[in-house]
Amino acid sequence: MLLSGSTGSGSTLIEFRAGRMNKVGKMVHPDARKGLLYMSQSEDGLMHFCWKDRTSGKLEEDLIIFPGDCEYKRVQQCKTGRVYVLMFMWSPRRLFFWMQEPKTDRDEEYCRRINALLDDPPLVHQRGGGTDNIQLQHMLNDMSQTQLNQVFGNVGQMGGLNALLGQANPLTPATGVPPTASKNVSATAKPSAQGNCPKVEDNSLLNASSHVKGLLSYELSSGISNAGVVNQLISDPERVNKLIAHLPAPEGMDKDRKNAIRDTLRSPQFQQAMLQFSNALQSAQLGAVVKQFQLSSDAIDAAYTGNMEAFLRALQKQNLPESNTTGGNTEINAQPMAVTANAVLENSVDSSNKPKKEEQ
Amino acid sequence: MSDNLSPDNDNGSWCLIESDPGVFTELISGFGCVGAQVEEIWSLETFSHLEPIHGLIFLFKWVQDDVVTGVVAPERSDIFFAKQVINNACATQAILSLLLNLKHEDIQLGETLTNFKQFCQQFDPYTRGLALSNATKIRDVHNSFARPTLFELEMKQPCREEDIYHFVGYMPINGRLFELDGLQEGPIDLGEIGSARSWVDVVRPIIEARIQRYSAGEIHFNLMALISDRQCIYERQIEALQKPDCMGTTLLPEAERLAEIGSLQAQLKFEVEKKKRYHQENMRRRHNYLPFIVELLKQLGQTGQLMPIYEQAKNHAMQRQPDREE
Repeated sequence: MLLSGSTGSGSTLIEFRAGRMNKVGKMVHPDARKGLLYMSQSEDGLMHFCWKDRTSGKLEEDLIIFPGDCEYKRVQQCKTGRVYVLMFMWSPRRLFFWMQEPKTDRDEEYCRRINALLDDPPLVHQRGGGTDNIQLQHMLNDMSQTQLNQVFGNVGQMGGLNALLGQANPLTPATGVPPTASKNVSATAKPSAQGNCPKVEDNSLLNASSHVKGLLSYELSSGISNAGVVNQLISDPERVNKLIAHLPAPEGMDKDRKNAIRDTLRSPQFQQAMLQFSNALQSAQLGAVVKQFQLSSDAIDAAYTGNMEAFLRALQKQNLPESNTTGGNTEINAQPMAVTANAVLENSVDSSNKPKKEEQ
Repeated sequence: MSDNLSPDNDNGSWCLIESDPGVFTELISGFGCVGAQVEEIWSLETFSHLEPIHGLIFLFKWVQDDVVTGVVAPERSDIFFAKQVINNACATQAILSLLLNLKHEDIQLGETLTNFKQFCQQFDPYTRGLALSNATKIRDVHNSFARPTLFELEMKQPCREEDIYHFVGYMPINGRLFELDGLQEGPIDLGEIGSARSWVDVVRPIIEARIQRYSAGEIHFNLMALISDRQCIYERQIEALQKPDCMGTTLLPEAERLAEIGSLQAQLKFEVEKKKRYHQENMRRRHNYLPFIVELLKQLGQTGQLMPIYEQAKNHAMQRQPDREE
C-alpha cells in the first residue's frame, strides 16, 4: 500500500529527468519545472518512488510502493509519446510524468526498469509495517455487493481489470481489489469437514475469513506473474511450447514467444482470470472443473474441498521428479530442476511448526 | 429483429463490458460502422490533434441527485433519442446515441445500424430503448466483448443489481449543442453553437463542471471522444502531400513537405500499432485462460516454484489481515 515517508538514507536504483503533470479534477496540466524521477530502496528495505524539483532540490513525491501496487506505463493517447503514468491498483489515482531526457532512446528501457523495480524489488529482509491494513480495510468497505459478487465468478458478468489498473472505469467495478466474499458465497463455500481440525495450528487458510482468502488470491496472482518466476519458467523452450498451446493462436505466431507468455502473465485479462480461478478454487467450486485435466486424485480432492494449499501441494508433488507419487501422470519431467530447499521440504508432512521461509 | 419489445429480465441477456477505447473502437466496427474510432480523453486542453471530434461520452456510476443542466427539448424528428432501459447495455447505448445522430463524410453507419435506426424512427424514446435491448445482432456484438466464463458454477448466485451505470453524450446536432442522457425524458438543448466557435469550445465548460462535480464526489468516470479513424486521416494527408502540386494546395518547400510526410508517417505508424494492441487486448478478453492456468500451475509444480510462491503469498495475505478469522 501507499505510505508517504522519508526516504531515509537509501540507495538510488534508477533515476532520469522527468517533469510532473498536475491533475486538476480529471484534467492534466504539464508542470514546466525540471524534475527528477527516481526510485530508491531505504534501509528498511522499502521501495520509494520519488519525484523532486531539480531546481529547488525539493522532494515532492515520495511514495512507498509494495509489489503489485502500481504499474508504470506510457500514455498511448499522448501525441508526443513521452508521457508516462504511474497507475495504482487500489485507487483511481494516477501520477503523470513527461520525459525530460534530451534523447528518447532510453525511454522504453526506463519504463521497463521502473516496472521491474515496482514488481520485483531487490531482496528485502522485512516487509513494510501494518499500517497498510487500515487503508486496505477502508477500501474494501467501499466495495459494493456487486463488486464483491463479480470476483466470485458471477457467470457472464465479468468486468475488466481497467479498474484494477487505476483507470476509473464505471462499467467494470474494481474487481481487482482483493475481494471479500459476498454473503452468498460465504454460505455456499463449504470448507468440508473442518470442524475437527485443531484451530490453532491450521496453516492452510482453509478456515480463514473470505477476506483473507481474497487477499491470498491476489497475492498468488501477483506472485505467479513475478518477473523472476516467469523468466525461470520460460528459459526452457519446451515449457514455452506447452504454454503457448493454450494461448489464443496469434500469440503463438509472435516471433518472440517468450515475450508473448511474459505479456500474457502481466496482462489484466490473465490476472483477472487467475484471481477468478483462485477464488473459485477456495470456494470449493472447481472440483468438477479440474477433473477434466490430468491431475492426481489428491489435487482433485483438494479442489472439491476448496483447499488451495493442498491443491497446489498436490500439483507440485505430482510433477516433481523426486516425488514418490503413486498416481499415474504424464507430467513428470526427467530434466534436473532448480529445486529449492523449500520445494524439498514441501514433500514432508505439513506439521505445525514448519519454519516459514520467504522466497524472493 | 424481434417483434417482441419487452426485455427478458432486468438485464435482457446483455453482459457488462469494459469501458475501454479499444473495446469501443472494435465494438463500432463490429456493428458494421466504418471510419470511426474512440479515444479516451485525459485533458480537455490538448485534444485538437483528435479533430474532427464528433461527440463526447461520459460513463459513470449513476448518483441519485445528479443535476439536470438544461431543459429537455421537445421531441424532434431530426434527433434520435432512446431511453436507457438495460443497465448492462450502457456502453453500446452510449456509442449509438452519438452514431445514430451523426452525419459526417468520414463515417458510414453500415447496414445493421442503419436498419436499426430506420426500424425505430417512429417510436417514442422508451420503445426505442426496448428495441435496442432486443436488437439481437447489436447485442451479440456487444456481448462478444464480455469475458468468457471460465467454468460453469455449480451454484449460481443471484444477480444483484446495485450499481447503475450511466452515460451522458454530448454532440452538435444541426447547429445546436445537445446533451443525450438516457435517464432523462429527452435530449437536452444546451444552446446554439454559432459559426464563430467550435462546438468543443461550447461544451468545454459544461464538461469541466461535470468533472469537478464527480471529482468532488469521488465518482469514477471515463471520458471518451468519438472521432474519425486517424489512420484514414493520416493516409489521406500523406497521399495529398505526395501528389504533384496541381491541386491548388500551398506550395511547400521540399524539405518542409518531406518533414511533414515523415511526421505524418510516424503518427500513422502509431495508430496502426494502437489498433494492433487493441486487437490483441480484445483477443485476450475473449480467451478462456483456464487450460493455460492449469498448465502453468503444473509447470510451476515441475520447477518446484509453486509451493514457495504459495507460501510467500500466504504470508503476505496473513500479514495484511493478521487476526481476522471467520
